Amino acid sequence: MPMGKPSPAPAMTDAAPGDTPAQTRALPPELEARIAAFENAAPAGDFDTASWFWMILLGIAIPLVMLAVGWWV
Amino acid sequence: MTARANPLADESGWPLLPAERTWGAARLTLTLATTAAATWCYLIGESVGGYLGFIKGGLALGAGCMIGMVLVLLAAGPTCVRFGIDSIAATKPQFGSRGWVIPAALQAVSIIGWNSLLIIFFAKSAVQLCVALGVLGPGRHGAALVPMLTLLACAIIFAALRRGATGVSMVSNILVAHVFIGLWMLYLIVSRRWPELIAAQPANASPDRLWNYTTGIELGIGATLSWWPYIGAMIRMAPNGRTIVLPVLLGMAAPVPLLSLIGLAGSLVLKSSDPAEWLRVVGGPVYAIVSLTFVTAANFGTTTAGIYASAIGLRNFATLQNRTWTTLLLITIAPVALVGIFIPELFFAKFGNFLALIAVAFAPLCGIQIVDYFLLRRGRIDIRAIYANEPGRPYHFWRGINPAAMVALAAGCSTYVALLNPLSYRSSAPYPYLTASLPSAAAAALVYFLGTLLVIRAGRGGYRRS
Repeated sequence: MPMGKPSPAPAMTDAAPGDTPAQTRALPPELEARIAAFENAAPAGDFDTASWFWMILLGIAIPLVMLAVGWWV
Repeated sequence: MTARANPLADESGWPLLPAERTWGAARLTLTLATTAAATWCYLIGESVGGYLGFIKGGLALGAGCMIGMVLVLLAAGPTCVRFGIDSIAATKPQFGSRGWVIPAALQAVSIIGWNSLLIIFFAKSAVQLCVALGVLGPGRHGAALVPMLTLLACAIIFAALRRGATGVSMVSNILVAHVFIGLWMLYLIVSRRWPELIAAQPANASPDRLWNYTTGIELGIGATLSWWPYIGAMIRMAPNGRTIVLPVLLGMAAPVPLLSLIGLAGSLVLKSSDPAEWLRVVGGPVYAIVSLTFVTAANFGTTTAGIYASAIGLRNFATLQNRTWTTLLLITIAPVALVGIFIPELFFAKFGNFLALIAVAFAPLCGIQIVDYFLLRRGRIDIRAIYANEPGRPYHFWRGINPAAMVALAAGCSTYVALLNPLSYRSSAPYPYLTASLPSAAAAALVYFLGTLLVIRAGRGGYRRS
């Protein structure tokens, strides 16, 4: 299996949250720029109303109808 | 957005900027349909045909596939499409900045396993096609040619994927015709053998009518749950959630039950799910050649998408982040090539059992992701914390692992196995009423929810206290 090992754990113990700020390790510049772009932009949404409609219709309503029809056939 | 769009961004595991996500609904549908349509459709259809007749089986399978796909979409979809990341990166808010190796291992084993199976199918179909076309004389060619054709297929996939996601899309544009050939084969058997098809009785049906029906649904749910490893790498190329829903449901979920009807019909009427065999009976050698072309093309397209998804998943490993795309492709293709060259027959014989166990894990994984994103985090994902794994970061949890996710995954898997043994298909009492995948996802979600209340109390995970 082409799995590398994750980078070794730092030799330290987690402090209680709120007591210790996150240790900052520099990210690659391009990754940093990408993350900053998301952080500075307006939050991106996931599914809009139309998406939910199609999910409910195709993923729940129609399958339920299919199951009912299949059972009584 | 301030970062500059990078033309090679689709070869990285980093978040894709909106400007880099150029796949519209049509392109995504095409790619997903080509990815979904493969030899496994016949195997799924054949499995359902053991328990249900044509109409009942088709409806149960179709419903199950759509339900399973919605689970996958709700689990991986929101985070992947918002930030342009793959399925594995999207598990870090649940499993932690080191715990994600568990879903990554499941993805790698599942995709590499499936790809090995499909590429061996590809090679075998290509040998049969050469015999049918008269390029090769009759006789046993498999032992020598299958390894060579496996190697050739891997080389072609490698060459196509040198262009990243563009290579997947390019292969899809060429191979999408096979989906329509599949529908033609379905029309052929339905139109010519309809009376036999309706009268045919499933060979392994249980006396319990409800058990048979539920098993048809369960096989459909399980089939589409195995798309979880693939979906992130594909939908991250689309700009927003609205663009992905119909392509995923109609392009990825719907073709599976439709093309599975070929295997279902073949197994019921002609006792063979392989269209290359029964098309020769129904329509003569020309039809057999068309069918073999279809099988060869179908497996090639799916394997290309699978190798791409797997290579992107590897980018999450720190040691592989800076490796070249070529190196990642070689690492991903190598196990597939080795299996196809050295142990194709052994792999065929043992693969089904192995894959059944792997598939058990995807239902709880979906349950965990859904409850985390929609209920516990209410859509608040820290994109920086997905990539920064130092202590103190929200997704570091305890030493990079979220115990709530680990316990929930174990609980979900145990629930599945308690309801339905995926190897023997022995089931317990609630199974016919509940299926196995849905309670497994629900159990994992519930355990994760309760465990996360403790995580929140401990102030870990980046959850808001309310």
